[in-house]
Amino acid sequence: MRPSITVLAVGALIASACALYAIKYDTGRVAAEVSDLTDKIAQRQAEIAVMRAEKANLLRPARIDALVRAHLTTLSPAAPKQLGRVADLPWKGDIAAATSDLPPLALQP
Amino acid sequence: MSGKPKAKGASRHHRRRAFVLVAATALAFSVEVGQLALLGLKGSTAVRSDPVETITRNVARPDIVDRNGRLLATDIAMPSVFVDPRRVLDKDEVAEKLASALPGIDQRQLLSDLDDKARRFVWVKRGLTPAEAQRVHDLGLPGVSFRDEPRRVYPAGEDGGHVIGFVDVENHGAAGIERYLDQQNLTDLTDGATRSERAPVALSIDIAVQHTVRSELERAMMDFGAGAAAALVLDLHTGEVLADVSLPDFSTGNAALSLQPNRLDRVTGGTYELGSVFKTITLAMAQEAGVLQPGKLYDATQPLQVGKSTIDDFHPTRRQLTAEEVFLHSSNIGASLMALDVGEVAMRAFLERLKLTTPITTELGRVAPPQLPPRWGKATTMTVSFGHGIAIAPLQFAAAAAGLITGKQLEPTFLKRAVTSAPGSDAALIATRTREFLGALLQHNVTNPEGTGKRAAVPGYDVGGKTGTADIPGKGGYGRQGVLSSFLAAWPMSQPRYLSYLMLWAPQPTEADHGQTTAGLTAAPVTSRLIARISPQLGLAPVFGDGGT
Repeated sequence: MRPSITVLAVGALIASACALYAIKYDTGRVAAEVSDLTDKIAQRQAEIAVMRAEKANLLRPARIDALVRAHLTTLSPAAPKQLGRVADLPWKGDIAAATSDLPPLALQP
Repeated sequence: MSGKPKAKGASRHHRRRAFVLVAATALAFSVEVGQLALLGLKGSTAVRSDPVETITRNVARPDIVDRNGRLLATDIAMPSVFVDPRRVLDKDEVAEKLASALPGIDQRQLLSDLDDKARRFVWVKRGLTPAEAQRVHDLGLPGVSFRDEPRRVYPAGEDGGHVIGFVDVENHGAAGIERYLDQQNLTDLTDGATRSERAPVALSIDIAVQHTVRSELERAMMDFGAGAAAALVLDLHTGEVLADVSLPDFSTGNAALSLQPNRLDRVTGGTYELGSVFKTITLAMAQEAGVLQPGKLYDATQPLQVGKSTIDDFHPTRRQLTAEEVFLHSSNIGASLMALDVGEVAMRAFLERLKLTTPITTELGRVAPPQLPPRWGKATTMTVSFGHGIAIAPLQFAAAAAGLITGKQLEPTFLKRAVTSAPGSDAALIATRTREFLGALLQHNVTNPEGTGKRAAVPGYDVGGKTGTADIPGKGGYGRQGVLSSFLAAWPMSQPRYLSYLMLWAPQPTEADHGQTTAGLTAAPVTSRLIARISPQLGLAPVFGDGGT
């Protein structure tokens, strides 16, 4: 009885040591993975910041204005007369009925 | 494990050995404890950290966006290069190679910095472009390293520079809203290039409107050969400044230019004698004081003589004028007579009520304080009535005019207001009758073919406004430097929503205008184009037919 208990205890000791080692090893690996991912996130965020700035720079009104003037030479700024609401169009009868469920233009009255 | 009983002598021998062992261990422990106690008592003077030069901590700033969320300023991580002099093998080689890879750095300064072996950290250049960083990296010099730092970039380019401001090399705000962010503690100290986690700061500016105003002013400067131009657009419901342009300006990427006095923000940073546009205030004041009896006429048949100076009209009519005609023909004589009717005490009280006599502040800092006449006599009362002898920052004047047009005191702001109406007192600034009277005057001045503001009309937007042509004071008295032409406009006059104030410095006479540089021929048509372009951008639909003109 006694020798077998000792053997069992030693076995349990070795098993738990192995388990502990495995967990410790895993933790180290996961921690490295976490710090690796954190670095990558920071890097991606930095890249996103650069791209957002680039996007805003490409969409800046001054650039669009210059591009339009250079390439769309037949266009000019819209005159107030060219703006209107669908309701103001001189359509009658079924045409008006057919368009009544369209959303209004995004202009305030 | 052994079943055999042990000898008595051997047992005693074992016990003695165990005792020696325990005693030795105890002795060793007590020596250790004693040593620890000694160290504790002596303090840590023997232990000293290596003195290392403090590395500057970086500042993370929140993004700045316009009122529609378009990005105007943001932090991006950029490498900065530094040297550890102790790890440098050949300081001459390092200094020379770095200077050739990074044009613009001071090689001599760098060499003397590298001489000091006590230093462990010397900045070479901060905020490198990727190409510069690659060049330095390719040199492969020991002791030369990189460190990522947040750098401020301004994607909107030349638009809105005066409002946004700029930062110094450490990313601290130095001007404009950037300085305001520092004052409000909206920035965070960080190590490395961490981005701010704060919500973006939204300006009242609409960058599309800002650009449109800027491009129209640029065109006006070319058309009229003007030396400078400025304009602002106010939301009359909230007091938000939708556009603030002052030309010549500077790009946020080239902040050093902002120090040139010619490039200051004229809207908030300078005071000017604004001229006849001030009659808007004079007429409202006369109506509020009750001196405008129906049918009362003002004698503009001949110039007024006050002491040594003469007051005459730009467009002399040489006849009796009604109050409305005084405004339509912009008669200096009529306005002077009205101001005399009101009296200097009531006039000063009215200007105080409009907050035109005390400095105002905005998020951009203190607006240039008004310059009032040092002594206020009869002559001053008369000249102030048509905008001379009193110099006011355009923003402050526009806010006062907005108060007269809406009937409520308006506090201008450069930040987007969360509420749809302006904070502060809802108490009426002036009587409803005065507001309606002034509104009709402004409207007629544009719709009436005899009005000085007729060229500001925009079909569908029911514009009202007043011209101002002031001689610019300078060497040799008034008028030698040309005139300051300006136009104050509000629209739609049925329910005023927006106000613009536009100024042109020293416009040159053009052939089409028969050699005239008055505001009716310069600032008014520019304002007309401006309103036609920005109203749709602001979502204001034109009204044709009964409501519009």
